[in-house]
Amino acid sequence: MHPINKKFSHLFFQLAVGYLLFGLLMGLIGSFQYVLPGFLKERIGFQQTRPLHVYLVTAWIFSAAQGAIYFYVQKIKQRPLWSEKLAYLHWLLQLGSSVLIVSSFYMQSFSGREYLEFPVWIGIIVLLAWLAFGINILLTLKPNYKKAPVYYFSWTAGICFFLITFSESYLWQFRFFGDNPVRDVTVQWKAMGAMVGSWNMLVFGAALCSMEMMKNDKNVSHNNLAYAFFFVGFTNLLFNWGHHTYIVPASPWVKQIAYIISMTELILLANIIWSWRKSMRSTKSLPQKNARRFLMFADHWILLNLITAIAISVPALNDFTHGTHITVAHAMGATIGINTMVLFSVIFHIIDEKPVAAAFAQTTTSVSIWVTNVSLVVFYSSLVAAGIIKIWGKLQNDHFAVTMAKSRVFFQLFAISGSGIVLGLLTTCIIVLIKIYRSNKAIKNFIFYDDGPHTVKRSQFQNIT
Amino acid sequence: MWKVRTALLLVIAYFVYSSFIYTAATEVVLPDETVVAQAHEGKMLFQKYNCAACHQVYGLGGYLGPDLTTVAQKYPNETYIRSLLSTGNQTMPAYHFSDAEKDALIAYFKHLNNYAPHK
Repeated sequence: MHPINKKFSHLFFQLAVGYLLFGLLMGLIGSFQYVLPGFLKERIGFQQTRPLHVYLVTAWIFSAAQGAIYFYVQKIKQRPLWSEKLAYLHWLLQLGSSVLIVSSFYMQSFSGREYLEFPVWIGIIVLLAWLAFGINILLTLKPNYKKAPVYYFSWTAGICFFLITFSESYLWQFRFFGDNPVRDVTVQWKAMGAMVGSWNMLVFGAALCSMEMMKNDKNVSHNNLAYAFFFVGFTNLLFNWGHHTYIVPASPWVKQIAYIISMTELILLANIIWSWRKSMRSTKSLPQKNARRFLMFADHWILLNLITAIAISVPALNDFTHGTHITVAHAMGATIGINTMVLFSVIFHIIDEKPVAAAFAQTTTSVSIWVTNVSLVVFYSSLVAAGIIKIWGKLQNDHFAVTMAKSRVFFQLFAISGSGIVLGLLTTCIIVLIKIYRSNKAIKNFIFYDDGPHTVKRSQFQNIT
Repeated sequence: MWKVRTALLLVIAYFVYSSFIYTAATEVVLPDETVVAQAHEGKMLFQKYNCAACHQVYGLGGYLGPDLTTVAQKYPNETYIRSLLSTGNQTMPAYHFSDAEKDALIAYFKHLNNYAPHK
């Protein structure tokens, strides 16, 4: 048994939780700016709160996934990371790039590209951070893909396609791309759509690995069906971005391909519905309570979001829903309902491996999960309602201000339920931070082995060795 | 082995498809160089002030303000757009753009509108 160094997982989890808390605060301010237009307008306007919120919550997703992967690769391969110095460098680059990005947004220095609004040169630091992560993970795994479990494929695809799509998102710097609005927008949608898919690959690879370990069943990630679903997901990563571009006047075959690929999601939907009860029963039997609860909620959100995704991929419906808050509802359902629930499940799986949880922490975690999810249902519904009003407004040829006024009550509901989500996730984050603090304290005195409860006092270990 | 082959096949298909997206699929007839240069200047201003936080262009951007893809067609006499660019409103900050900057932004909106499908 090789002792696992949890230091890097903990460092990345702490960073990720920091991103999430700060991102939630920015989202909360942004949502109140919808309801009260003058709210903090002079101090931190919506053109600052929105990119801050978007950057920080996406950074939460990929940093938490990276922290989990740093733990899992050591556990799978029974050896330390290829380079701990490189992992440190990754952490420092990630932290450094975040400080620069947040400062540049606060000082209103933008490149102004949707989702990557920070100045172009900071992108080089982000790219270097991901390179450090990718090299370390792949050289630790040294994967033999002929026999590899499916999460090796997910992680490799996630790392490689982040690097590809992130670089692609800067093609606008060349006038050949930037001066042609059709090419510019299409390539940006292409890059951003696939980039989201790339960090989803990291998240779902980590989730599958955690499920395999919790169930102690290698078949979870080695059966042919798991690979088949990976390839459906991977195909969607590569080509499904096209459904965002139905409104862009590129060649018609771009839309036709996008539509065909989008409909492959029906295979995933059919499988989820087919194996729903079985999946619920098997999730209920998982040993770790907290990890299990988060997974159960994620299961429900996956179903709801897949239905929404398929619906808005139908061109006749997309014609109405694009540019409305229904798209935002879909994005929020995916990032909070699926990614955040799955990531907290994975985090609790790792930090609860040596349970230090008191009954109080168990109850508080349970309450916080419920508060988050109930608030998210209201949040999601209010965004869908605001979207429907916008569609109605378009059909009636209402002025934009009239539509916004009609949606006001739903924006208020969205801001209030957003506060509920913040409250629920804040509580969860505090529990995670306390657990990491206690675990770090314990690590100073004990060596942890990967088979769970057997620990040796560090002093004894040193005597033995 | 089938897994490795399938993955490679998909990656190759992705790169071939990307090359079509970069060229034939998005080919349009651009106006003369002067118009493109002024529109480029406007686009840089649009990005510098992060207008996409509130406004969409072809679906990319926020929802707090109206979609600007066809704004040049909705307000052809430019007066309304020019006054908003100067003074802002309750939600939009007053950016106090110069006349040259307003010209560049309007040129950018016209450039966008030229290719918009919903006219």
